[in-house]
Amino acid sequence: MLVPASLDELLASVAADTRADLIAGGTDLMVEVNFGRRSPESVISVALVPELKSWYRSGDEVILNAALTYSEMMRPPLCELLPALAQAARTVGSPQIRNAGTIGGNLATASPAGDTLPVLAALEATVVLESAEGGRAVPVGEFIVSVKRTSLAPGEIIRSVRVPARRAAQEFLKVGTRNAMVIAVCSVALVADAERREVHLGLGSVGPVPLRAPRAEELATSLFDWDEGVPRASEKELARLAELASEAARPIDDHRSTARYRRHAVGVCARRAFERARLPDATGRRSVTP
Amino acid sequence: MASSVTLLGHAVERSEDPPLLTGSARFVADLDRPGMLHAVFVRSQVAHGLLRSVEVAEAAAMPGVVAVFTASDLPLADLPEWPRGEPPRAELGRPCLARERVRFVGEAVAVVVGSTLSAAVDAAEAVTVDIEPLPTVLDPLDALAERAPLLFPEHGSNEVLRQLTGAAGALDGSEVVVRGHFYNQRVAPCPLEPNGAAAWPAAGGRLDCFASTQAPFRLRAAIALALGRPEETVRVVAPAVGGGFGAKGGVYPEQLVTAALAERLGQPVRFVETRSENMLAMCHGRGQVQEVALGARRDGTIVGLEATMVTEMGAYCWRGPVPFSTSRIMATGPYRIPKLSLTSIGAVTNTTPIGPYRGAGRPEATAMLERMIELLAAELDLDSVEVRRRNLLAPSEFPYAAPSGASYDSGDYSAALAKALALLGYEQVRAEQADRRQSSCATELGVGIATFVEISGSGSEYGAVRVEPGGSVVVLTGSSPHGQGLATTLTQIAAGMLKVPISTVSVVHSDTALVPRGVGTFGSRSGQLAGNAVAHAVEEVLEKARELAAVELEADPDDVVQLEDGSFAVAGVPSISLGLAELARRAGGPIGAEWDFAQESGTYPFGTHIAVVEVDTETGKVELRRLVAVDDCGRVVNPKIVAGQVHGGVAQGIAQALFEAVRYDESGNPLTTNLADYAFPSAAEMPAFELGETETPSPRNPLGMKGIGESGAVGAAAAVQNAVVDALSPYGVLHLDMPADPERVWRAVHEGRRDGQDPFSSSS
Amino acid sequence: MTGAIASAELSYELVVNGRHHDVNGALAGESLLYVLRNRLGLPGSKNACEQGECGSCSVLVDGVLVCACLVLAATAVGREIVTVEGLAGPGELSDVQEAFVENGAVQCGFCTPGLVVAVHDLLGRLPDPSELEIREAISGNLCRCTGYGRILAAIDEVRRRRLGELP
Repeated sequence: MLVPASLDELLASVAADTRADLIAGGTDLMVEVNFGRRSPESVISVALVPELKSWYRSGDEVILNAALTYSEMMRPPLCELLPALAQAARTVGSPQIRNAGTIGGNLATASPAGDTLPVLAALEATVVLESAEGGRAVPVGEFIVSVKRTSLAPGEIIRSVRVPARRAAQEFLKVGTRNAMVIAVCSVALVADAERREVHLGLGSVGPVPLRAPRAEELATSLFDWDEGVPRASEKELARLAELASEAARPIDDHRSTARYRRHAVGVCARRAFERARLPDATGRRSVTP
Repeated sequence: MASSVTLLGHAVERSEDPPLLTGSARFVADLDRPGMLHAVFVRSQVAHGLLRSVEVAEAAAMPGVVAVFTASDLPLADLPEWPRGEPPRAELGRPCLARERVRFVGEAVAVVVGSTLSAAVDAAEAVTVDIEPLPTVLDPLDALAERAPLLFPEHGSNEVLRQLTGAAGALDGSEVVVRGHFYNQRVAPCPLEPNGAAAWPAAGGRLDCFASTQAPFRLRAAIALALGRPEETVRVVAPAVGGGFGAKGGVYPEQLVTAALAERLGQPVRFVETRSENMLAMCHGRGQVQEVALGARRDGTIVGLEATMVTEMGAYCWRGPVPFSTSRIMATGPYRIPKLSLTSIGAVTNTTPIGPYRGAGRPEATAMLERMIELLAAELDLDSVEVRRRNLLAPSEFPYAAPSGASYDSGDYSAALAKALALLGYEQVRAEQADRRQSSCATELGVGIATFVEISGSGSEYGAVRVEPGGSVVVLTGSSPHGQGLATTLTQIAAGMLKVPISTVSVVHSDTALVPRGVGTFGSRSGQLAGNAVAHAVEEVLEKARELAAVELEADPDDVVQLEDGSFAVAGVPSISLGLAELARRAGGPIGAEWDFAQESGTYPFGTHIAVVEVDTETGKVELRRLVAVDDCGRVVNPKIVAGQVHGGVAQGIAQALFEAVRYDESGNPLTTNLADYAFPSAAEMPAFELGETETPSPRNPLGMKGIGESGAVGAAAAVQNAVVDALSPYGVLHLDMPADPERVWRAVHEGRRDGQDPFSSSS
Repeated sequence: MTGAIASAELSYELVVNGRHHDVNGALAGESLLYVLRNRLGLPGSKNACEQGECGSCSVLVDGVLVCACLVLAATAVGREIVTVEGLAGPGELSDVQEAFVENGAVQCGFCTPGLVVAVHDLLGRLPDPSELEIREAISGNLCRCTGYGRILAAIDEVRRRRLGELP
């Protein structure tokens, strides 16, 4: 049980004990421990490592340090820079969970239902890993390799996540049984990037890893009015967009839902996210979403 | 009596609250004792199988382990069966620790006692249970099929209960018959505090037991029986109890085992369930398949009801007979249904045993009837309000002998319906709905009504009142409140009738060493039974005081009156008066009286609940917009407490209608074993409830009270279910089983059926 | 707490409700909830789910509302912990606790301590929350008895009192 007080100390500890479990907010690991599903040999807490806290802007990127909590994602000005991430954070657990859970933890757990993951996929985020030997940057799509499995190497930690901070419309929608504190049956994140003139869709809970929907993205990109910053699509085109998003899903049946429903609902969410998307003006102000 | 009871009807603040708010109240898990040992149960991970062996040697040798017991090392009598008085059927017995066979995942097989909890937890994992798996049966209809795997081969069938009510031919003379096949799903009670028990040997050979229970006297009897001790040598205390909802009214294996361990080891032992254990080991509620036909004339007048209710018992016929029986008794609800032909069946399956859960049979009967009323209205193209009005019993028909044998006491069902419709603004909501249906909006509006009657307060309860010479008033009750505010209610009754300040009254309950006898708190009984017992005892105390005062004042007792300040004086001479405490002092000791109040046929609370929902037909998501609840529980002692009970019941009814279902996989492994997978509603899911009331006193007790603990759950679930179906009616949907989760609703929209059948998965 | 991280015993100090407590012989995997309840004699925080779903164990750590069952106790060293026992002086009720009594917001009382901590946190951060904000803020505190209505009324009363809208 170690509680390092700096990044260097943390990296040294992780290098010295590569089998140790890292704990940040504890919202995943402690459940496993409390339920007797896991009795880790050793634990290293990142709670007191200052370098892993908070976030900052760097050029046209936002750097989210690994121990950034969901509550912090919801606060201005970060929630204005990354509204989809803030919306996703708002649907995570309860205030208590949002105060404790972190973006690094969400990535490391790599649950198919991880709420920030479709947002990071749609943002084409880069995960920055670090070890005593040095660092590397991995696209989020490569970082998460399968259900609850990542490409984190022994001795490595998640240092931060880099996401673009360009002018973009962002939406996040989730379907679950409750309003609050609900594990997603499916979720969709949409990013309409005004500079690249591309729409990206991240799909959550409909595959082993967060998915993109390339054909739906292509259609959405062509249907978005980049000059006015609003979607322009007929009912038929919207239906096609939903269909393409559904086709990109690779859902399974489980006790929360069936694959069939997930496939359908993810299409509805994609369509609605697109319909709601509004580009902010140059000052960052968004027109009111209907 | 009414004029003297000045405190009745006031929203007095609860005296129970401060310790609960500051964290100083003690629940079972908070009880500590030097040398406390910790018990952890080893549970079956197989739904059905033959118990070949239980290897405990390795566990017993682990550090910190005091002992490990299996059924053969700790022989205990089987759990008491319900209803009492019926000859126990030995072949259906429920053992405290499994013998020879396991019948559900979570069934206790062995118990490990450790000097610390973690030592016991670790050792429990080292116990090896060898089970030869047997085929499982999970669905009650499958269980009744020929060649189904049998849970009790000696019994020869999975049908453990069967009762016929009424006679064949109930539909004869009908001009129209509507039919339904419904499943009232299995839900988990989920009190915030899981089960727990602690026990230790006390002075004089007594065994002191503490349990999170609703019925300490019942538990005392069971412990005495299991351990073969006289009841006087067992003390049972219910400390602060974190909710029960009926599920803590019965006797659990873990409670008896904990008591047996303390006796055997001569040391304090504590057992506290984890939430995961609670989801397996505490009884589940509901779980009833209904095959129903309702016959009527073309004008909507009901002719008769023919139904088969198959109630799941789970793995044992233990507490499931409570909902089995109550749904039978309430089968015709608030309606004039002249002919009934009802077959009630209880079936065992390889699942957690069923027991009473808030409503316990009443919500099942109500949902069945309210769905049938809607189907009838749809068939006849009438507004269902009109169908209800034509068939509701009228005030002049009471007392009413229902075809089930129930004797309803009093009611004005149409008045409650009218009031609820007015509170809602029924016509406006229907107009809004019509507008919505004209538009192309994907979000449909639905209105659902449930008019219901339920049964409360059967049996008897003990009460006593004692005025001490020092002026304090002690009230004893045999009930065992655990959140209902009964101590406050009884304080109001005693203080009001004695005309003494509330602060002088204290209420003693939930300790068999301090209260001579009693029953407990369940079935919406305590306010009325304990309340009337206390009221009667107070009357006796007042009579004794009057006689004492007559002696002291040298007057005829008939000339002595109680003044507004509570003291006694000769009529017309108020200047010379004697207070109750003074009278007790002069009498040389307390003035007391006790009473057992019995009310064998119960009382019948009723009401109408109306729900308004919005249904997103693309995602299937249901939003509850409004919930109007008009309840009639007779005379109200404390409106704040009554409203609290309605709120809580309504919330659980909504929860069943929209959110909750216990689920198993095909092998009988439970899938909803924690509060993430079994998600009951948070504050974010509930609208503000709109409450109203009518007040029809019961003629069956002097205070005119009826119960209010369960009405909310009885009416609200059916109202919300009806609202969801109503919203989907443009899509041809005539019925949808609960819970109306997004997927189920979406599928109904896409596969809407006009034959009154749930489009899929009717019973699992 | 049922599981434990297999490791040597630990000794550390925690500051709870302004008082220093020595914790000796603890196991590394013990949650803050376990330590509060079983080692420090502070059973006000309740254990009802062990996975942060119910909020019955809500406490403040350095002023942040968290579920004590998900905090590894040893990581709370040097941080200020406030539990329900620390919200008011001995024998006193805080304004939130008083409003709960007045509004009938308590039934069985098992979720109540955590809820009261959450309400103190909410109104400390956000003096004038909307009804939606209140519902969201207490959505992590499950209550099975009340249906939440009277709890909302109590919170609203404290809000108005603190804003001077009520005497």
